[in-house]
Amino acid sequence: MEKEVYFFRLPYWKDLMLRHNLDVMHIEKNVCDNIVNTLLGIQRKSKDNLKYRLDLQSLGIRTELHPIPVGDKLYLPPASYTMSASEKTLFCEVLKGVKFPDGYASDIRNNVDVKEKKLVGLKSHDNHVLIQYLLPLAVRRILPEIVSAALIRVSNFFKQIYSPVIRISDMHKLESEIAETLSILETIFLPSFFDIMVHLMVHLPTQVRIAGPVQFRNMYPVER
Amino acid sequence: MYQHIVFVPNLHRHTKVYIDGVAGFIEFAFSNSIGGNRILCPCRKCVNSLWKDENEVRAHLICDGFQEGYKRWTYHGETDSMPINSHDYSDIEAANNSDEDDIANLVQDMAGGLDDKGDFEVSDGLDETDVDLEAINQLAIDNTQELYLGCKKFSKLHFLIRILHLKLLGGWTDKSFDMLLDLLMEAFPDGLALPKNFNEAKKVIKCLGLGYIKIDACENDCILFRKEYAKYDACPTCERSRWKSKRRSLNGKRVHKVPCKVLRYFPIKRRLQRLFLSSKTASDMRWHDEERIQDGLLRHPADSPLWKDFDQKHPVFASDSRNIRLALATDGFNPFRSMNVSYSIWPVILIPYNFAPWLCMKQTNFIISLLILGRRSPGSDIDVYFEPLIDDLLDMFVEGVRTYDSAKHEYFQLRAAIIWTISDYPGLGYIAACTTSGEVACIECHSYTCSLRLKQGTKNCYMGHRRFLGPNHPYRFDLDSFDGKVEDRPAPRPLSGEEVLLQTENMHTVHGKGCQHKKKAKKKEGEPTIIWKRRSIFLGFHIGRI
Repeated sequence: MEKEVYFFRLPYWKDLMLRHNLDVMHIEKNVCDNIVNTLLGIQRKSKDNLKYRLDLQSLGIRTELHPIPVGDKLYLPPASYTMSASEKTLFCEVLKGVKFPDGYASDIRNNVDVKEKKLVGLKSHDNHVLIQYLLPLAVRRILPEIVSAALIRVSNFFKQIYSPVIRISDMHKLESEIAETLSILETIFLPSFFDIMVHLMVHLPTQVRIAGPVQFRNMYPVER
Repeated sequence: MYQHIVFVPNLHRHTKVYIDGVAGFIEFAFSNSIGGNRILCPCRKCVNSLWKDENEVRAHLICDGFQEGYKRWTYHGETDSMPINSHDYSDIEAANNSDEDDIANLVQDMAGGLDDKGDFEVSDGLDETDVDLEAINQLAIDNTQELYLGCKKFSKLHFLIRILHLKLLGGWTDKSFDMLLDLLMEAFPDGLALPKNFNEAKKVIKCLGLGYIKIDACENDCILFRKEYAKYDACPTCERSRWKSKRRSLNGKRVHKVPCKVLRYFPIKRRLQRLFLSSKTASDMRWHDEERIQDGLLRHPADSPLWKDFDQKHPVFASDSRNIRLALATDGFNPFRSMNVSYSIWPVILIPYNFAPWLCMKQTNFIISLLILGRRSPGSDIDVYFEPLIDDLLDMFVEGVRTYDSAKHEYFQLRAAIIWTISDYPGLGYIAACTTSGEVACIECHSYTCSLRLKQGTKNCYMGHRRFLGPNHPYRFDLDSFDGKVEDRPAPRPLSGEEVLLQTENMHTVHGKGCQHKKKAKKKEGEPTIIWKRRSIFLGFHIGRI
């Protein structure tokens, strides 16, 4: 039996310049997680391990990072961002020492485990503060300049994205800057570092340029 | 600062207005002076630290001008607490605190929206307006009824609302509330007009709320049992029964049926109309047009190119600044502990963007419109549940609803439109009906997503960021640092709505997680992959027959 079904449509939807927002909060959190876990080399969360190095080998690029067979084991040569044990401790100690003004952020010192050299139980707002203010400080002296410079660029990128007052020309500039920053990161980190959330960073300035400050479009108030 | 004295910037000290203003100031200052015939000179050079007489002060003020920022004359007899202007925050808060006795106004406001018959939407043949009007009449009666014989201070309604408010603030249990009511009954003189228990108390104020509609849904998310399916007992697509259990009443006449899955729909029209019931929020709804700073910088969605573009394309909508632009936000969560996957809730929230930034993203201004409950999340079939919402939104865009504006005291056609959606990335995939993982995970790069499969790592990675660089950027030609190739591809361009419509033109949508086998179309060699799974509900369906 044929039955008439009334369909409907929102007539204006196809004309909108931007229909679906990328959520900056989650992107920031995932990028921050990726960076911190890789720097601290946390097992199963790091984006640098044997499997990813083997992939690098099969792709035939970045020969200096390929695993080297030593006896019956494989040795992973340290990458530019690999930190030694003492450096990791230093990194954690920097974070252990921070104090915030009252009500600014949760006390991040509770999340730092200096002994195990890792960060535990970070909330998305902790990541927000971490990547914008703490990471640049923590990596400055520890990592080689090329790596820390790139990470500071990432940090600055998020600072600008989050600004409450936006000049459109700034966003045009930021669009080309983030492409450059991500290209630099491509030369530093392994391909596995670039999951979809990292890639989405490249589209954020365009969205900000079209739709205004991210405060009105992110998930912070909604998730609460 | 006194209203009759006009403030003139220091630059215009030769004008008569300024000289008059100085005279006004001197008169005011000397009338309040504590130093006899001398006052502290507020000129730029003395900065309220030297005592001068009248002539000297006048000369200083005209030659040098007022000290910058000295607008409240605290050194000359003006008290601190005098408000600077009427937009001061403290004022608003004070107003909020003092409105406790506004119950009569509240009833009046409620009635104001109902004056006109057929104003509110009429649902399912039941004439709501009559019912509402009756309820509000009852409220008005309750408001005039004194709490007990000879009580001057409280009406019944007033007391009830206050005590219910206390219950809410104090987190009292229903039981303790009943006990309190019992005690009051005993303690007060005879003829106390209070309800017996919490349940009855709720009934009295019920019509102040808005309520929601329950719509049954297919367990497999195929359809909603509304409109033409309203009377069905089983889903026409997957043939799964609508009911979880059926129970006959004792005499066997009535059958009590429990539906498998229920969608809560909070009718949006009345909620939006209610924004205009209070004169304060009604004028706040025009903030984006009247009080926004307009200097070309982006501070509010109303500054954005998207907003302006939208206004240009829809002049009728843009002509009245009271029309509401909304964002649709959704997110799934597990109510019973975050790792528990046996139940999920997807609230769908609308955020009106007409408010000022400090009101806009406040939770109190969010409007909940749908509550999708179920054992598992609806996933891509979330479209099905949007149906009643989109129906109403379509109405509200094309025709609008007649609404009473209590700030301007007039009726107007209120329209509303969704301007974008907010969700996390997997959620975006559900709403926009596109893929968010695998080969073509990026919605902005769509078919041109640059992805690479890492076989050992069993993951996809998304590189190729050199495409977004300028055409002659040195990185594009740097073989060694990157993947050994010259990057000559341009940056991909996001799809416009029209293009999405075109790409999804022939897609046949079948909702539900039931038994039907979804055949995956085989990709032809060399053809770009299309990221769309089906046509999004927002884009609308093609008009036709099944």
